[in-house]
Amino acid sequence: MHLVPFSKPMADDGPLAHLDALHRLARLLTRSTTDAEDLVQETYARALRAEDRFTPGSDRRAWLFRILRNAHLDARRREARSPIGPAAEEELSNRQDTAAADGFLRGDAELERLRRVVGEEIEAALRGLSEDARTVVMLDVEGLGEAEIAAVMGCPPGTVKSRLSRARAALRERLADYRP
Amino acid sequence: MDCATVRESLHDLRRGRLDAARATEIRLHLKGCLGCREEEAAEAALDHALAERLPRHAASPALRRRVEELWAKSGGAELSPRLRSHPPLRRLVAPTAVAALAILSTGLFVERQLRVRDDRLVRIADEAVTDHLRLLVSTHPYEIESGITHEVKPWFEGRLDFAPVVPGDQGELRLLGGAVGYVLDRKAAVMSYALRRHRVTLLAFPAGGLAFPAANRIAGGVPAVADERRGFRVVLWRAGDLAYALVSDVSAEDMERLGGELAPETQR
Repeated sequence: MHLVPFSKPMADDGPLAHLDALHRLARLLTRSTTDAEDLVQETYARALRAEDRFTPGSDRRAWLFRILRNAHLDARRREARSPIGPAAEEELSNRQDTAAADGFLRGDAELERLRRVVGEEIEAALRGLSEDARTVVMLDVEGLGEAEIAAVMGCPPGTVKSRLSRARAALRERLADYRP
Repeated sequence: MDCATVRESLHDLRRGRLDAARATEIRLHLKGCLGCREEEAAEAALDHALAERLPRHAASPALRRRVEELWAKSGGAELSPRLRSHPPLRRLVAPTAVAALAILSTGLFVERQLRVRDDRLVRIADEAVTDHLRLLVSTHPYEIESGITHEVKPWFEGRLDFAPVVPGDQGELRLLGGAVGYVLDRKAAVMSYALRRHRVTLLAFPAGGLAFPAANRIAGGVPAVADERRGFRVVLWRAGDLAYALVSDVSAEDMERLGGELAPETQR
């Protein structure tokens, strides 16, 4: 089964073409509609200031995601609301180990059960992950490849692969808590 | 190829990012390895949940206006973003070429919109047929088994955050019962009927956030969308904030008649 990305890749389709995709990630990062909208607006403000540095023909969507992520991290650093990084990574590793031991979400029965999980529950499960984990899952859902995600996250593609794998394992575990 | 190597590649396999030889090698391993097949099924289930259930919140009109205003203030509104990235090209574009481009763009936009509508129709119609099939194969298809509208409708109260219209018996159509189901990322009222020896399912669900396909016919005066999926006929229509989906394997004439009777009734 191929995942149909929320927003299909468009190399240079104009900034406003990616507004919805940016808004979706902002919602998951900020946990408030108002904060999400402010973050998206800040993203565009920064993008307009940096437009001269955008290389025509390169991936504008990945460029905008990177600006959004940096704007969010800057805001978080200013506010110092919650930890980002090693602690969350450790939490993910622990979850992965537990997940592997439990062997959850197996086979067709699990597909049918997950089919009944409603959107709000998936959003809640995503919000339970660390910011990096949420970001990497959402960028994958939006259709970005490993190299593009690596450019957004500022890390090597190999790191994206392992982060995505751990994040999905943690997500599977969290969704296993929901029963129809 | 060992299991660890295969599992590392499953994500790329599902995304279609492996070369043909590698993909074949992994598929061959999956055929002979139950553990890896289960892992693949679990990952595919998560893909399905993320693709089909995760709400796709669009930017609000207010946010869109704010960003457009921001863009306009910077001078970007007078140009298409693509041309803005290539100022020298803009100077070379003659007015006639601009007009031709506008006509071409409009055509492409319309084609793209039609394709999006088709995708939406496929998604909603597929979901409706799947729910109908679930009722057909289930040994306990109803959570409320009653042919009386005044028993089925109150049963939904407290189980749904909306109040569907529950049409009662009409001619040969008999109400059998109801249940709560799911359409895409939202709960749905599932009403089950019998028409002679055929089963008929009527789904009601909130329409908010769904890009509803364009109407291709009128059902009892109500704009509706008719489609056929996997051998079943599907008719969709809107009633205020709700959407209704009618599914059955009855004849085209029967389906048209049913849609013509039920669609107006749900507008109450």
